[in-house]
Amino acid sequence: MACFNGITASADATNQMHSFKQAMREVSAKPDWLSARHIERQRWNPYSMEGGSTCAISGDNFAIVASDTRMTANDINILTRDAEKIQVLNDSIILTTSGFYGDVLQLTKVLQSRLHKYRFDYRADMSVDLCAELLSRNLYYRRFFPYYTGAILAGIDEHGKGAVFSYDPIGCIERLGYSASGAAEPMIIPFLDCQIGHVTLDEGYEKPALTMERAISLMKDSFRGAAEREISTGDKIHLVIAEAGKPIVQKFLPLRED
Amino acid sequence: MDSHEEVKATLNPTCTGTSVIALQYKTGVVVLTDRVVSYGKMARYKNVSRQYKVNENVLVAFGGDHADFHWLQNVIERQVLLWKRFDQDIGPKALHGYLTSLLYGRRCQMNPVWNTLIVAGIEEEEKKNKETSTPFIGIITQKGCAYQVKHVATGLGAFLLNQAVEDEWRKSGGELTREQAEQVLRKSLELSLYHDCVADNEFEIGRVDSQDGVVLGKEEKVIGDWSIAETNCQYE
Amino acid sequence: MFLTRSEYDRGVNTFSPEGRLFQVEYAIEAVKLGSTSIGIKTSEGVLLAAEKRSTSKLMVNDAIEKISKVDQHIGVTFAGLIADSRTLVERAQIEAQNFWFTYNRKIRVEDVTQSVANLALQFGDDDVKASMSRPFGVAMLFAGVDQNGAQLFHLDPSGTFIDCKAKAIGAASDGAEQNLKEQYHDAITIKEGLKMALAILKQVMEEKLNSANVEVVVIKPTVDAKQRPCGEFTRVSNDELDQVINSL
Repeated sequence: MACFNGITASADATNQMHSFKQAMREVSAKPDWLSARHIERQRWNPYSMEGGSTCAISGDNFAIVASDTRMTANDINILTRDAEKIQVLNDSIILTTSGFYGDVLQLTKVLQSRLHKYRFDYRADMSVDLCAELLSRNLYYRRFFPYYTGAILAGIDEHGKGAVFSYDPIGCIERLGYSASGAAEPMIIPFLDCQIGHVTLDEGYEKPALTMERAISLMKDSFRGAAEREISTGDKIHLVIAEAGKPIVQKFLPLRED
Repeated sequence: MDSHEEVKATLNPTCTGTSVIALQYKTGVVVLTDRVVSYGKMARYKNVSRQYKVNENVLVAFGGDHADFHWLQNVIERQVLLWKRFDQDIGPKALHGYLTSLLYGRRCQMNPVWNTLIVAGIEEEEKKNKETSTPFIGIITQKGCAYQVKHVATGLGAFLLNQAVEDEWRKSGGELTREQAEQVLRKSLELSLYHDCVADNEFEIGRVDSQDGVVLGKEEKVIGDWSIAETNCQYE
Repeated sequence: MFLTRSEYDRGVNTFSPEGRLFQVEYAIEAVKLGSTSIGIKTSEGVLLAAEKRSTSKLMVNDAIEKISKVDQHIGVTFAGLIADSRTLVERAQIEAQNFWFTYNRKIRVEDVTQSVANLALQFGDDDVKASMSRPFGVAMLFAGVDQNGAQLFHLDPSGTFIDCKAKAIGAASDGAEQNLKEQYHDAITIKEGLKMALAILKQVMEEKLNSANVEVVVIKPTVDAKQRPCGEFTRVSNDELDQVINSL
């Protein structure tokens, strides 16, 4: 620190010693580890990300939901190849979530118990429309310590139509034709925008109708595409199909495992 | 600067254990842990087990902070006694669920239990039926992220060993014998010994078997092949 | 009715050897001390009509509320100990708001009735669990329009509730109900129902019927912002009431 410039050096040295002592006093009064910045940096992070992607498409009388089954730590380390990210809550409600898996588990449990209680209180299964609102309230309830989840709720609504509800982590709700969430969301959404939303197609062109077969094959393509380019997505596709008036069907399809 | 919150919760573990490796075989689960307690990088205490026998059907192994796990042992014991009051033995799935809620609850209070837990065991009902008897391995991370697997390596082992263990498991089509499974674990430990500086060569293999119940392992030792050290230019 | 006065009418939770809970039966009797209320389900909605009995000339009739609004689509009228009814109505209002808050949808009439019925049963000696030391001395008529159409439920102090087409409670309920049975038909309109209710009240009331001593609410079907069936609670104005009363 000290810089000697000929004769003025000794006078400077006194001053420097003074300021050095001052600094020492400050350091002992306010140790570095008590500084706000330091605490902030040291603060333990209660969230982790387990990766993976989920997606849902609704049609006239059906809704299909899919997710991969890979669970990762730090995006590079595969924890398990068969994680459950889709929960069939009842005959007409399917929940799929990505994000922090601890919150996913908790959120699922909360919803399951609320549905159970609803059955007792109102003597009927909850419809997906009601569950959608309920989930929104539950997410917003934790506004200041959010469930770090990208939730999608899908199913058959009260009118027998396919329904997809999409959420942000703090409960903003939107009913959409199709939605995706998780690591490969930025890849799947544009693909579906093109294929189902037809946003790139001009007015006069014929737009293919969204049949269930088409929706399922688009869904497979979405995940195969995502698994090629996104490292935390892979292993298996968990496909859940809900069709009005029919029981829910679940399938597992292979995906690349690297 | 009057926030002293950071000293009220374990935000840094003190005396720690490293990897746990567990693997399912035909009729049970084998779990390997080494027997050293590290204080930072120092091997502080030797001959300390990281496996806890809950009852005849359930074994819990852990990585992470020893003190937190000692507290957990007490919590688990209380839970076991609570079940005993109703003449029940807690099963691995129930304990896994309970510990998941506990760890998730603590992370929500920003006061985590600094452990990765492996709950291994067999459900009592399934024990009697050899056809359906499926051994259970459940993992819970410090933040309450829980899942079930057929094989696992945690801690640094998650990076080093997961794939090796999985390959062995797949090679056998998921039908390893106990001897094979233990052999995989011994080999895995040897691998982790070469790369994980806080792993120890003294270890134990505990197991839960549908016939024998929980059998805690005896202390074992592996030396490994250090001939490669001669070619390392930094080796004295 | 109660020839053998026994020890068994003291504890609210004690059955008599014949299997009766006297305190609950007495509570049902208390309902018959209250002024008469009538509910009629029609093909165009549902209506409630209630007598407002004033015990003194000096009482302000407008201050008596015999029909309360539970929510936009549900109304309730009651007979018996009016003070008790306030607790129950409040529960109904809270339940309706709570449902709406959680699910963003109007609650069904049956579900409101159910939750109030649950509260009606929570009486007893136990200080901790019970919210009330005795049964509530009121009967209620819940009327509303929900996704199942017009609904009318009768709830008595025993916590029993019954889906009704038309129902009378209170002092003159027996006579009024006899009339309802004779005159009611499924295709009845609101206008006819209103006339029927007022005619019956006129017949059974001790005072002379006028727009000041009667209260009428009509709940007609409508749709909410999302085009779902719902009801609209409207109090019938004094002018309209006078018109009908004069035509009787």
